[in-house]
Amino acid sequence: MTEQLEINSKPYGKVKVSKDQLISFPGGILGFEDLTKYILLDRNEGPFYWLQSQDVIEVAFVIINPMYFIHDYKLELSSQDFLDVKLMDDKDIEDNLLHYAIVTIPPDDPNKMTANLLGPIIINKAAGLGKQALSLNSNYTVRHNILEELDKSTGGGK
Amino acid sequence: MLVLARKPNQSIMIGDDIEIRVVDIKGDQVKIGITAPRSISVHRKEIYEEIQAANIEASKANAETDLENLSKIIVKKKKKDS
Repeated sequence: MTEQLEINSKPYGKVKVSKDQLISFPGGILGFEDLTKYILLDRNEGPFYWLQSQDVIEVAFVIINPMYFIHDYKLELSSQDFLDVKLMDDKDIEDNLLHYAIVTIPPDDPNKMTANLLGPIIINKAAGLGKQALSLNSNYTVRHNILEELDKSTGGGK
Repeated sequence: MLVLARKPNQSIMIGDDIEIRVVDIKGDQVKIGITAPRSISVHRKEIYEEIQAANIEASKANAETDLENLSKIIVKKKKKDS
């Protein structure tokens, strides 16, 4: 049984999490370089998770796995990005890589939510290390409309 | 900022391990070659700024954001796919 601890979260107030939900981001993420401690929150919100800063409660990101809404999504990063989170080889990547896109939800029109595929978040779940990497795929942008992307997947068919 | 003038094929060294070279100049466009250790990421500045701005906007996620509702919408849409 992994050790549990209580943390404070922006969306849910005080919650209990296990130690393996604590992720260290040594380089922070762009715009938040000084915030290096995050918690990965899974509260059964379907495909959404929260990346909650442990340092500053106000900083919390909704994240989603891109493969959920783009059927041909490819994670294209430099090999150095994987090494930065101590994913040493393909097997390590296969076993321990988690990757997410940060979601922006416009408060006045949540259906227009977008995901950042240009700067994906990668996490080594075994090591508890994460970073924001830059995709080498220049077709990706910081603002992919999630519902529209889902429409593309359903509309075309195979 | 240190400003140095270079002609095509001339280089600048940053520390011992980073080299910036002017590869070509065509009109108002400069082609710049960068040699750096793999541990140092190199990207166009606009990309950095774009991601930074997107992160900042995303971090303003409301605590009241109705993820449950959004989740239902997404899951429903995705089911239509199968």
